[in-house]
Amino acid sequence: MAKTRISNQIRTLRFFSDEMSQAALADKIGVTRQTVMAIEAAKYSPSLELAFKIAAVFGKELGEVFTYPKEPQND
Amino acid sequence: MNLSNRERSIFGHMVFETGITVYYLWYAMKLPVDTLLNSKEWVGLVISLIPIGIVGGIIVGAIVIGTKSKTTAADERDRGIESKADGIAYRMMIVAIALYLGLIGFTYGIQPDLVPDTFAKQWLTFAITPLSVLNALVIIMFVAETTKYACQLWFYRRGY
Repeated sequence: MAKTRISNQIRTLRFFSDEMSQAALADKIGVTRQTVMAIEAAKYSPSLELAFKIAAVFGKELGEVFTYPKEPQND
Repeated sequence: MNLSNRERSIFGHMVFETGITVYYLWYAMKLPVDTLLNSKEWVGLVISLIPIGIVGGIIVGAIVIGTKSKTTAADERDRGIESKADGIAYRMMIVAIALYLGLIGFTYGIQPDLVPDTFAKQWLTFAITPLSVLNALVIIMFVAETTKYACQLWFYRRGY
C-alpha cells in the first residue's frame, strides 16, 4: 500500500523534545507505539483528534506538524 | 520477521482456528453423510473439541503473549484495521454462501437437464443433509475468518 500524502515532522520534533521516545509519545496521546511508528513512516493518517493531540504534545500548531502537498490550482 | 504483540496475537489465533477447524473437518468428513446432528458420533466429536479448544487456547495465548505481561488496548488504528478486515471477510462470506446456494440450486434444479452423465454430473451431485450443510458452513466461516486475519496482518505490515 502506498504511503499517505500527509507528511509530518514528528521524528524531528521528538528529537528536539529531549529525544522523546516513540513509546513516551504513544503514552501521552493514548495509542500504541506501533501506531506512532506507522504515523511517522506515513503509513497511517491519524484522525483529526489524534493529530491535534500530537501537535499539543509538542506545543505546535497542527500545520507545523503535519503538511499536505498543495494541489495545482485550475483558475 | 519482527512481529508486534498484536500481530503475533492475530497470527496465533489464525493458527489456532486453523488447527481446530482442520481437526473438526478431518473427523466430520469421515462420518457418514446422513449422520444426524444429535447422533452419538457427532455430539462426541463436538464434545471432544471443547477440551482441545480450551487447552489449545491457553497454549497459544501463552506463546503469543510470552513473557510480556503488558497488553495494550486497541487504539484507533487497530479498530480501523479490524473494521476494514471485518468488511472484507463479511463480503467473502456472503459471496461464499451465495456460491454454495447456487451450487445447490444448480445441482438439484438445472443441472440434471444440462449436464449429461459425465464426471461433472457425478462430481456436482452431492447429498444435502444437516451434516453436509453444517460442514459447508464451517468451511465458509473458516475461510471468512482466515481472510479477516490475513487482511489484518496485511494492513499492519503494509500500512492502512
